[in-house]
Amino acid sequence: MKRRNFLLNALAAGALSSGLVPLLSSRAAAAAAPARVLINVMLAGGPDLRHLFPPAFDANPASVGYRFWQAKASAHAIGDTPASWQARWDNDYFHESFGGTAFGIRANCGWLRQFWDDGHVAIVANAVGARTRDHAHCIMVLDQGNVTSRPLDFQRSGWGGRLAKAAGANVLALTASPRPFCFSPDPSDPERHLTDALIAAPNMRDLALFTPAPGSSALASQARSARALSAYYAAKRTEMSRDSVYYRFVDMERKLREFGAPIAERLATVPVPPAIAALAAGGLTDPGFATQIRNVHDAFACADILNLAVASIEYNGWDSHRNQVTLIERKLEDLFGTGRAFDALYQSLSAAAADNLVIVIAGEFGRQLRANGDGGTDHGEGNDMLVIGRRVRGGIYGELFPEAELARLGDASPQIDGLTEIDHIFGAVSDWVMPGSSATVFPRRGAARLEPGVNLSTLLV
Amino acid sequence: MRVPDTQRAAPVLPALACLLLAACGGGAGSSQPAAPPPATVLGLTVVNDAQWDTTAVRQVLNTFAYGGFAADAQIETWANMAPATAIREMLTFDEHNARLAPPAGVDTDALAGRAGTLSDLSRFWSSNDPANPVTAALRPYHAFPSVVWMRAAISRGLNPFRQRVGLWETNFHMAVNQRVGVTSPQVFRYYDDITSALGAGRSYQDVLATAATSAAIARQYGHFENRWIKGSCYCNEDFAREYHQLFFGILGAYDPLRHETITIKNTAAALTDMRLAFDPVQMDFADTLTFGTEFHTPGPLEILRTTNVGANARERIEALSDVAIAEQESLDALPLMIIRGLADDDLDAHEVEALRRAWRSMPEKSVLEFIRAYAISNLFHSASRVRLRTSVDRLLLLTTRATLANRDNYLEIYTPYDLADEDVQPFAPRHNVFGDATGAEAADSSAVFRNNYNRVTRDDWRYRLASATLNGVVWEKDWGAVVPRNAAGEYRVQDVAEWLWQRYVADGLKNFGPLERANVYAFLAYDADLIYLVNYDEISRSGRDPGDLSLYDFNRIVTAADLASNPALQALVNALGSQTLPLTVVDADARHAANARVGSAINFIAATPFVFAEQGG
Repeated sequence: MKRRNFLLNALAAGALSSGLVPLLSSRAAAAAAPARVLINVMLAGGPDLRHLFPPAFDANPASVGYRFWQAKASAHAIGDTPASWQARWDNDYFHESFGGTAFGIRANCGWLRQFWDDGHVAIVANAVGARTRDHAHCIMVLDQGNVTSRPLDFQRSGWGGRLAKAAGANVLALTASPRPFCFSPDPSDPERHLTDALIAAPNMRDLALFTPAPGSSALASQARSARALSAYYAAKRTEMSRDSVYYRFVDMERKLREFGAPIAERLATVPVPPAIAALAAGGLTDPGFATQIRNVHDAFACADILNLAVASIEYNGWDSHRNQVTLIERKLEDLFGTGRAFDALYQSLSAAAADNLVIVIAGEFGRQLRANGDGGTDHGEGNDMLVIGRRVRGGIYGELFPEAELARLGDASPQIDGLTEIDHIFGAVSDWVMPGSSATVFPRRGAARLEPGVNLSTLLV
Repeated sequence: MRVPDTQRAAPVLPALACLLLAACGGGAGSSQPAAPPPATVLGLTVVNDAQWDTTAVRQVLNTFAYGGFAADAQIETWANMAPATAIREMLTFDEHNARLAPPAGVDTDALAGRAGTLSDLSRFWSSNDPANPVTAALRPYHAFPSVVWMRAAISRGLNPFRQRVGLWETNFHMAVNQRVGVTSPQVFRYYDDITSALGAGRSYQDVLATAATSAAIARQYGHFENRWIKGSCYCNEDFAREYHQLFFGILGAYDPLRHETITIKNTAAALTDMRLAFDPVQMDFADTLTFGTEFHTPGPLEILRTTNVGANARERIEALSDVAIAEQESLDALPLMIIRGLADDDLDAHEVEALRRAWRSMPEKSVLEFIRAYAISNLFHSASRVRLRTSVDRLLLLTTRATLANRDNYLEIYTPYDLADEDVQPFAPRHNVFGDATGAEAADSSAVFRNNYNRVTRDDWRYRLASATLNGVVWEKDWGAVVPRNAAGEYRVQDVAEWLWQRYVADGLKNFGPLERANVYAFLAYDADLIYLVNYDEISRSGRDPGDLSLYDFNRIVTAADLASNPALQALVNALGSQTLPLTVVDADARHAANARVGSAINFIAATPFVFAEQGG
């Protein structure tokens, strides 16, 4: 198995680095057309997306809609009576249905509900990456898009980095520090990664290295230090081996110098849109996510400078072992509420940019089907994943509430069975961003598990 | 400078005998003839005499003690000892280590004679004690663990190794987070209990059990509300899982389903009735737990395939920790967690196996003996070892390198408050219980690189400051007190440059190439950048006016190849290297200017790639 995994990784790394990627040049050739862009959103902590999309309450005690609410009542901070469950369902959820499945969308997620109604939201049910329920391992697998990775395989490439390479473009990390999602493959070693396609921009509006103000003295101490370092790094680029452990810092300096000033110049002419400015002014409970959303907007404004194909953001803290309602509902609203993060973003993008954007939202695992004794839920396996965008064929992919779960509710750790592996979901997105790329970005896609009856080939149009 | 082995053997004996006992399980009796230094400790091969030099000593200190404060003479002394002896002086868990962090004569804080727990230091530094040098306005901030920890780690008279490992234990390995409600008293108690347990030489499972039964961890994970009532566990599994996974590295490989459905469930049941009282005086939660029985799960519980018993949660956790430390997965994982966390981001298969063997070889696990054995091993001193520095590692190293007396930091000249600019704050780890930003994350972060760059260019005053009156205190930098003079009693630029590079980078000058050398020389000799001096030199030699800046090409780049091939450049660099620095002259202006030049050179060194990572060998 190890050898097979090694070879699969080698195939991915080797093909990407040797120019074997189909249509590698088509993106560049089509430069006049708006490029397709993926925004990957990591929800670290294991979000309970059944809390966002619960089944409709059903008064029949044998039904999914009854047993679910019975099992999860304490995680919703409601009483242990059908009347409480009914009231929660009636009062706190939008009522939706798809293909005969009745489900809810949390009522504080107005933008998501509108996008769903417009047909731009795909819910992929029973999705799974790693099955260990270990945060670190499952996050790593999700970032890497590689379910074969074991807990210590943390040096491998990320699927965003592989996709950017396949697209001949860059991957933009808009988080405080880049996620492994952004790391590109090392052609010489499939077990390691590079950061050559990575542009780290935790604050797009404060990216440039210090340079003395125009007109200031060339002999000032600050000018002397800055000049010395600028010349030094320029020289080091010509002489330091790329294999050196220190080369990454030389390259970092180059990227900051190369991108920092042009981006600063561009953004000086691009005001922060009011909807996005409002996020930072208290519109979101997490100011860091407000910065990331502003970064996404700014990245589109600089897409030509950045050669942008893939970007990475994150919203963490979903590990809801206790007080789940308090913990995650404000986060759900931050993401999906009217006037909140994604609503503000879409309001602020040009029509062309919005049409060519796809957003993938996923956490590393799901929660157990039954609430624990502390108002929360413990680690589970499968979960829902979301693919959102105007080119997305909205709907539910997979059985949202499998009947088989009812028989497991009494188990010690009842969980959502992971039926569709991430290769299929992310592979479909990869192929949309860069046609044909999933062959190298997700080389084991053909062998990956897919829930019977699910077809993700038309997830995006 | 090295001494013959025969001179070295005598002082080595007592510690050596102790080491052999630890390594071999007994033996070396007092009547035995002097034994040679051990070739291995815990099965790890000790570096040979040629490798154990001042560079090796400095590398140990840079990695494990933010550089420490040992004088050059002390470093030389350690380099002349057998490694196994020296390391026992270098790395200790006591509150004070007088060799590693000797007090400076000008300091009046008397830290070396004060109790050195964070709680004690917090009381002192936040007090109105006349001996407290902290500025009055800043004293209230010393009620916060992050501020106290940072000051402790950069203070002479204490023990930076203790703080280095203490930070790793409480911010990475067994992280607690003030952003989720863990209180300052709880953090102080947590940190002090862990470091005191380490200092007392308690087994590692005892240290981990101490942490697991702390108020800080209970507050962090929330299991203090877990109750066993009428046969049902009103519990969450959060810490029940992470106790095994994060503390001991046990994911459940022995039987994933059994681990998931029995061990974790029953560990949650074992963690019941751990009461966290609300203190009405402090208006906050207490910093210790009480362990009740009323709502505690009765009877035996199967955990990790063994029967766990105990009248309360503490007894169960203490018993369980003895089991967990011996679990195969833990034996495999813990040594790697420790070394990856502290010293090497890139362990290969051979190194992994060697570290696991070393850990297994200890009948009672001692993290101190393990770190010591590793720090003098050929694994640590291998060129394949790479440690990407965290923001804390880098900024504190830069701070200790510049700190000649605690007074420097009481005046807040070097104190690295700008950690916050890199989104780092002790006891508020970025990834919550999964720890703070790693060295790998820092290495990939443009914000980290940019902050570092800007603090030595835009904010270049910090290291350049040579004299000032701050808060009524007349302060002057005195690099001349520590920089070595040559035989003529002069501070020659070349010597000072090499000394500075070793002090900061400690690579045996391996990366102090022609380019680095030329740039550092330029600042030391004339407080000017190399590009300016090259222009000046060429313009002067062409007979034009070097005062006319319009003649300068400030975008010029000088490469190492240029320096190797251009005789004029070589002559310039040689001339710069032979200049001297008037660091101790009577003329105050000249003296201050010379000290500022040292600061400019530090600014340059501190922005090279070589401060972001360290390599062994």
